[in-house]
Amino acid sequence: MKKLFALLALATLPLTVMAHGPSPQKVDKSVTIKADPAKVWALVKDFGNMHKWHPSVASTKLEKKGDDSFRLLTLKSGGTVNQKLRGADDAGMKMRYEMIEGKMPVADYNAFMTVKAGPGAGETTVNWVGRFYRVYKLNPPIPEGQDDESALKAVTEFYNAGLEGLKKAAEGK
Amino acid sequence: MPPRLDAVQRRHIYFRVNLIMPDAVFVEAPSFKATILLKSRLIIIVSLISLLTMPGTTLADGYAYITNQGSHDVSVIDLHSHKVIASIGVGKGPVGVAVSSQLQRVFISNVDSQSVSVIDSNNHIELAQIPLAGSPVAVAISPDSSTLFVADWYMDMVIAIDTSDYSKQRKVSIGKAPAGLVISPDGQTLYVSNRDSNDIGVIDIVTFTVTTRIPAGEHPFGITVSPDGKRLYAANVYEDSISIIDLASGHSEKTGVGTRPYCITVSPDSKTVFVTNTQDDSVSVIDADSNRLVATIEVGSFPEGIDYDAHSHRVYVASWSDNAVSVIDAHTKKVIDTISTGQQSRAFGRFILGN
Repeated sequence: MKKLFALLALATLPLTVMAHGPSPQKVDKSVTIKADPAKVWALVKDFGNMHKWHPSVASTKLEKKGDDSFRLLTLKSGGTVNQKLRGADDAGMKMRYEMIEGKMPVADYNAFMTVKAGPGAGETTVNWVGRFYRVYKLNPPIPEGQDDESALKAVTEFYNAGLEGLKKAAEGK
Repeated sequence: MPPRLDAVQRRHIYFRVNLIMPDAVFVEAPSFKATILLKSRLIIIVSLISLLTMPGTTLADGYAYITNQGSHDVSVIDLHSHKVIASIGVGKGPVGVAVSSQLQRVFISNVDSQSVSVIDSNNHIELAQIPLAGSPVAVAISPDSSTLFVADWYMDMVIAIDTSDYSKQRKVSIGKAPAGLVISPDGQTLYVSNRDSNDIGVIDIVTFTVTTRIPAGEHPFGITVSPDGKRLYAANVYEDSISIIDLASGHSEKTGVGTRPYCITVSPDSKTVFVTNTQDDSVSVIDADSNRLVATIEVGSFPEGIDYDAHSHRVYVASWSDNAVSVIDAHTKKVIDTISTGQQSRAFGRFILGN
């Protein structure tokens, strides 16, 4: 019985006594593409067609709810990710979105992608920046797979694969 | 390499004239932590020596101390030249900042190494790290510089640290995830934003007890009191609004700002309020008479900390994503400069040390 109480106490402790303490995490990746900026921007801002350039995405389902756009990504590794478009600025070529829920070990995820001409003639630079927290928002000990490292690894891998895929798609390779 | 204390510097003795006890002078030697009480007639001599031996002392413009979460350091910006003149290595994941011109010290909260760094603002070196049990977020210093307050969001408490002896600490339990701190201009009251309790804790500084809790919006983070002491402003992160609380009547109202507001500063005449919107890459400007939004200024990505330099009437904004500080002219409400800093700049608190 004592053991049971101890377990119950442990189970309720993080919710009652302790508080949220992690720092926001950042992944900032760029790629240079030999293609016209307008062509690259057209791919990036096409919110409902991410599977056309991201090799980890099997399919994309676009949903409109009032003025808001959502996309449901089905990942090739299994599972889905639901994201909301926050805005796509044609003048600044900047697209911003957030994650509602999904099979990524992150919380409060939001990100933007920018498309800029250069550095060389006929080249385009794409920058992808995400800000998010780990899944486990309470105090240590942090369960495996819910720490900062797991969150950073997942987002870094997703961005690296995506930018490589975007480059291939835009360069027509 | 960040500047660290070497053996020669450690032997250097720092003099400080104690303003609270004018008949005594403390001579502090960090290497052996001795405190010697001297007779009052020595004050003038010691003060003179202290002035003569303070290297790098300038009486020109002030500095901004920008905490960089990703590079674990503090960028020191000269407010006249807008150049980073020093980069000071501190603990891990620095976020909060508090400055004291009286003590010539800057205090930095290191969230991920559970400590507060003490920086010498004359030599721009880290003098000490004060270890803490939990995880510090905001730091704030009393107007008389006698007490440093630390919001600890692991332990749900506020810690008061005696600035003449860091081992002298008092603690008070508060709401969930205390994040922001601000002290009334009269030094009597400490306000704490309890991010996960959606309210503002009110602490009587003399008794160091919680007297009341004022409801705020969802997820209050950055808070500030207008320089005239009349109003408290709180950024409600999940509500895209700020709470405006009249401290005399307790009357509270909200006004909408940009997406995910984070930190707030108010002009010295208490008439204009500036709010960073982390997910709109902008600063909302609110007129304090009408409580209406009067302008939105585009700044660097993911803006967090914000402070007003009363000397130049410029507003400095830390951009977490751009690793930079955006500088706004408070009159024209335009960005006039961008200064590169360390990685993931946050600068949560009052980070400008004036002259």
